[in-house]
Amino acid sequence: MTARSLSIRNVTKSYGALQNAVDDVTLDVLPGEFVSFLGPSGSGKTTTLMMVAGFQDPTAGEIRLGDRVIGPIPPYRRNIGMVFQNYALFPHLSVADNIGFPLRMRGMGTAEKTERVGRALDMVNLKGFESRFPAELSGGQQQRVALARALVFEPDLILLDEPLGALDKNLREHMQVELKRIHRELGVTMIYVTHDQTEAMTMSDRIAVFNKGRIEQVGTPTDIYFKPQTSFVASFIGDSNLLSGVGRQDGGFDVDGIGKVKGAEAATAGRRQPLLLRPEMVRLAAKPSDGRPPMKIEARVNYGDNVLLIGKLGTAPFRVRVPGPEAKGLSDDGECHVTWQAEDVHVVPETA
Amino acid sequence: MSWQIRTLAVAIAIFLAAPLFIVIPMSFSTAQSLSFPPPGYSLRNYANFFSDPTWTQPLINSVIIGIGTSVLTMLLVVPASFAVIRNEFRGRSALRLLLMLPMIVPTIVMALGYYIYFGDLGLVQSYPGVILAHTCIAIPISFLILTAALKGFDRSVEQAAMGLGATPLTTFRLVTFPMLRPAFLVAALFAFISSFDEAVISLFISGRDKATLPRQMFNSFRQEADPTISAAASFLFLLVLTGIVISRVYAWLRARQRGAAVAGAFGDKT
Repeated sequence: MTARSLSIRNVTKSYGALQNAVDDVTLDVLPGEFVSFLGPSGSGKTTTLMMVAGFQDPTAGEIRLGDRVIGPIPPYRRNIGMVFQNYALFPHLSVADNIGFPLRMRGMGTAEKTERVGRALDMVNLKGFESRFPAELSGGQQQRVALARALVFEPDLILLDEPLGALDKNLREHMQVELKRIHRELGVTMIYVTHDQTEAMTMSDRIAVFNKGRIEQVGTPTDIYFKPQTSFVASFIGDSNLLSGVGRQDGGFDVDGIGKVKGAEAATAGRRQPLLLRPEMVRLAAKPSDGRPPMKIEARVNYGDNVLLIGKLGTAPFRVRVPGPEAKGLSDDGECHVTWQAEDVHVVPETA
Repeated sequence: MSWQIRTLAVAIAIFLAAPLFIVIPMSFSTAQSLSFPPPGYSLRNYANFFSDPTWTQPLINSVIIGIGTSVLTMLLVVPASFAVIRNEFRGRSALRLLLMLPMIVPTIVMALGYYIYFGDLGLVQSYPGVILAHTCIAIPISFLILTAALKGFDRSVEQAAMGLGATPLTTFRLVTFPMLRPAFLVAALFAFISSFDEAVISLFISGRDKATLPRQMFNSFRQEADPTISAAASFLFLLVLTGIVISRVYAWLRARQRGAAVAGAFGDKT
């Protein structure tokens, strides 16, 4: 399978409404890369995917697959495999005929077709299901058929539109692992649309975070999680303490409700910026440190392996995630002292 | 459901079906005229119905006109349904209303119109004339069935086909049409039935040569009270019943095969 690069250049999709559905999106995907489009519903991620697939036309901009500009090419000549959210299997065709459909469209002979369908079924662990009909399969099995159908013709690119959205949690995690294995084995370029941040975090080489038709940030899962470039990304991904502070002369911040806080990056004096401190980076302390106010605990959520403490640090809303055993001695409405490393306070590079 | 409502429902059902309980036994009667209850039973009326040219010719006419109507209706309604459901255009709701109009306009008014208009065109007493008029009558019901099925049709399946390399035409041939086949079948069947038991327009324009079965029944009843008419009526009923049963069974089989938007969508309308 030849992996190809995908280049989206200044692509805009407008329906004539006030806000563009997709607004000047630019993104380069490397050959063989697994990139997730992550964002809330209506953020433009699926529309962008549909434009790559050819089911919608961009109002402006250019999309290249490898060295081809694919804008004028109809979907049936793009050689892109797509897995739909509802699978979109052909209900009147058997599993083998569903998977063989793209091969049939390419005029492939019966013998080679059967062999390739067999290999694709093998890949998704569905050997022996050739003559079943989609209605006779479970959701997870239908999902695998859709996947096999999208990769059997060795497309230049595979698009997945929230493919695991309809599956229950265990099956979803299982399919995530399967998908990653298939991606590794085939080395094909994959674009994965999801609104599930865990899914994006665990599977992607890189994540593009969409919001209101724009890409807020593109980066590795680690970058997106620890070094968000906007407060939207900081709050959308993971659990967060998003503080607001004004830069001091000494490079620290005066944070509302808490007081003096040092960040991983130096402050610009007088500039107000959001600060991100992940709740799991905060530790309980025996006594107050750095003149910080105590934390008032208002609620605790027990996850078993860890406990989330929700309350106020000074007057700022604050969340702390601590390992289960450490939280034992704390009462629900008590006070505790907290501490953290300055390097874990990420300064979001935007003006609040 | 309380017993009062059940009783009422059964009473209404009996009232609606009552004519059948008279006509069907009468069709097996030995009596020389229309009388009830039958003095004895035989198949004479049926033998007569299938051998006497005064009855066989109208039966053949009705079948030819019914098939013609069915074909012409589908040729018109299929593109119209796709156009109305899948596109936004100016005058869409006006077009929809226009297609439903034959259901609203009194048939007698249409019949009179055809009588005058087709007379000038030389279409009275001809197959094309009756087929054209019956197509008009059949359009609303076929249109309703097809648009309901199309509305419930998930277009991502078509997108999937195209993404996998099928041109729009191939997509229609291999995906859209096979998936909608039950709806197409039912629409065609209902077009045939609405032509087959149409009487008013046939009375006005089919004439002696191209008389349809309902027209012949009317004539026969008025002129001689030939008991063969009860066999004709029973046959007509049996044919319509078969049509409905076939469509239901087909829909049911499809629904069972694929849990299914298509069958469900027209199940409501039929």
